[in-house]
Amino acid sequence: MLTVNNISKSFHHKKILKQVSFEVGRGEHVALLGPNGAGKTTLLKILAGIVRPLSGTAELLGEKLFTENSAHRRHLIFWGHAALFYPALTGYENIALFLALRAEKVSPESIREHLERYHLEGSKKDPVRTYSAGMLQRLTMIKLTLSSWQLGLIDEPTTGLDIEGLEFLKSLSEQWKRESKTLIFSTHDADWVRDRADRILLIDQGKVAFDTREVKTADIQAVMQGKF
Amino acid sequence: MQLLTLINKELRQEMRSKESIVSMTVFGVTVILLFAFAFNAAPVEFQRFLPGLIWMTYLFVSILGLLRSFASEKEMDAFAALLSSPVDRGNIFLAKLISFWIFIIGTQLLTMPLFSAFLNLRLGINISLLTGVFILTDWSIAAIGVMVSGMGLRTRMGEVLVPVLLFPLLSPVLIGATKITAGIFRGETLADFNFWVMIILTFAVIFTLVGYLTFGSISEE
Amino acid sequence: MKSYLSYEKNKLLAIGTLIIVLVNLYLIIFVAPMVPEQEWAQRIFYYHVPLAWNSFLGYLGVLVFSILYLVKRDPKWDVWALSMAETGTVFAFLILITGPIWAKPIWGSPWTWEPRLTTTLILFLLYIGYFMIREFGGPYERSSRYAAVLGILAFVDVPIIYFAVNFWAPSVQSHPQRGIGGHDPSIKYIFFFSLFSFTLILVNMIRYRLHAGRLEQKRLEA
Repeated sequence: MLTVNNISKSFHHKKILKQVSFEVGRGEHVALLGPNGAGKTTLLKILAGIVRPLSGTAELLGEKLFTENSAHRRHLIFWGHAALFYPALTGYENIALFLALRAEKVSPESIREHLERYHLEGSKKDPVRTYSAGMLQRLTMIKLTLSSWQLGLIDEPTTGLDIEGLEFLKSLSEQWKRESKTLIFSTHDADWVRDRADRILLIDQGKVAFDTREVKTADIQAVMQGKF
Repeated sequence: MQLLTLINKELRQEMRSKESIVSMTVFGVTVILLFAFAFNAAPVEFQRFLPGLIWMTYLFVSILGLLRSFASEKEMDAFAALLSSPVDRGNIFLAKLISFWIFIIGTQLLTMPLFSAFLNLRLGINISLLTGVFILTDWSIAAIGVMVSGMGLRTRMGEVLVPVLLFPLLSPVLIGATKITAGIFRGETLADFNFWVMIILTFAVIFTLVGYLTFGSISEE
Repeated sequence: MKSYLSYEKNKLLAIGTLIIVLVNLYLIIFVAPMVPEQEWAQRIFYYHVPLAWNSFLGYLGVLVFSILYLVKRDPKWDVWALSMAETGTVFAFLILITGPIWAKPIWGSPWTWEPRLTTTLILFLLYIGYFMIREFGGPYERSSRYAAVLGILAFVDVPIIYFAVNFWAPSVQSHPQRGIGGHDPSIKYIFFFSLFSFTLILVNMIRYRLHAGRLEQKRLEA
C-alpha cells in the first residue's frame, strides 16, 4: 500500500538519506531501526509531509505524495517527539481542531468520553501548555484513536511514556493490528520490536541496510548492537 | 471548511492569550509617544509629517506582531501536526494572513484615536475612505509579512531577517499609503490618488497569489 | 575541473570583451561629441544606463532561475540564480556609487532622492536580503528554496517599486538621457555600442561566477 522510491535528503550538502526505497504492505507493523542520526526521524517526517525530500517519489494507496495535493494525508497520521499541540488551546479544542482538519465526523460527546477514559477529564479547561509529558502522550493517543487513518508514522512511541501510558499504548497497538492498520515506527526498544513488529527495516548511513519479514530475537539483538 | 477552521484556531488562541494585540497596541502607543517627544515642535510640523509617522508606526508594530505570528506553531511544534494533516499549504498561508490582518486592524482601531488626540488631527476627514485605505494597505502588509515571517520561522536570525526583508519589499506600499493618507487629510478625493491605490492593490493581489502558491516551499523543512 | 581561463571559449570571450571595452572607452573619451551645459559630466550617460541595464538583466535572471529551481528542483538552477543575483547586485552597487559622484557637481548634492537612484537603493537592499537569507536561512537546500521564493518576490516588486518611486518624487532636474534624441546622432550609436560592451562584461562575469559556483557545489558534495 505504500511504495517509496529513491528518496534522498541532504543537510548542509551531506546526504542523510541516499536513494531509500522500500514497499510496505497493508497491515504490516514495521520497526524502523538504526543508530542515532541515521535518518529515521527524517524519513518518517518526509512521508508525513513535514520535510521536503531532495528527490524521490512515493505512493500511498495509489495517491502520489510530494505534490501540491494534500488529500492523501487523510490516510496517514504522524506522532513525533514533540507534543504537536497548540499550547494556548485546551485538550478538547486541540483534538476537535485536528479532527476538523481531517474532516472526521466525531461528536463532541465522543471526544469528551475519550478524555475521560484516558484520565484527562479533570484538565478540561486547562491549556495544553500546562499538561505533563504523560498527559500529552495520552492526548496524542486520543487523537490517534479518533482519527481514521491507514498508515501510522510513529517516532519512538515508547519514549517518555509512564506506566499507565505504556498500558494504553499496548492495547492500542493490539487494536491497530486487528484493524489491519499499517504502522512504521522507529524505536530503540528491543522488547517492543520483538513483541510488536512483523518486519524490520534498518537504516544506516542513509541507506536501507537490512530488511526482513522474519523477526527473530537474535536478529534484533544483532541489529541493535550494530552488527548485520 | 478548512480555511475557516484554521482562522478560527488563530483567533481563538489570540482571544485566550491576547499576546499579539496587547503587545502590538502597547508598542504602538510607545512609538506614538516617542514621536510626540521627538517632534517637540508646533502642531503645524506634526500635520506635515503625520501621514509618514502613522505608517512608520504601523510598520514597526507589524514587525513586532509578525515575529510572534508563528510562535504558537513553534512552542510545541504544532506546525508539524498541521503540515502532516490533509491541509493545503496555501490555506495555511491564507489563514495566517487573514488573522494577522485582523490583528493589525484591531491595533489600529485602538491606537488611531491616540494619534488624533496626541498629534492634533483635524476633524472633517473622509473616514470611510481612510478606513478603506487602511484595510487595503494592512492586507498588503499582512501578505508579505506572513511570507517573510514564515521564512523566519525556521531560521536562526529570524528576528533580524524579518525587518531587513520587510522594509524594501513593502516600500512601494508605504510610499503609497503615506501619499494617500496625506491626500485624505488635505480633503482630496479618490480620483486624486487613484494611481497609488492601484499600486497598493496590485501589490496585494500579486503577493497574495505568490504566497498562496509558494507557501509549501517555505513551510516544509 | 580546470580554472576558468584554461577553457578556450572563455579565453576568447574574455579577450574579445577586453578589446571591445577598450574601443568603447576610446569612443567615449575621444569620439563622443561634447554636450552643452553638462560637458564631461554627461559622459556618465554612456555607462550609467548600461549599468542599470545589466543589473536589471541580472535580477530578471534571478526570477527566471528561481522559478526553474522551485519547479524542477535541480541544483544547477540554484547556482544560476545565485550567479545572476551577485552580478546584478555588483552593478546596482556601481550605480549607487557613480550616481552620487555625478550628481555632486551637477545638482549640488550627492543624494537628492531622485527616483532612479532611490529605486536602485531599495532594490539593492532587497538583494542584500536575498544574500542574507542564503546565508542564514538554514541548511543547504532549504536556504536555496527560501532564496528562490524571495527571488521571485523581489523581482515582482521591481516594476512596482519603479512606478511608485517615479511618481513619489518627480524629478525636477533633467536626467541626462532626456533630450538626447535631438542631438548629434553619433551619441545614439556610441550609447548602443556601450550597452553592448557592458552586456558582454555581464556575460563574462556570469560565466565566471557559474564556473566558481559549480566548483563549489562539487567540493561541498564530496
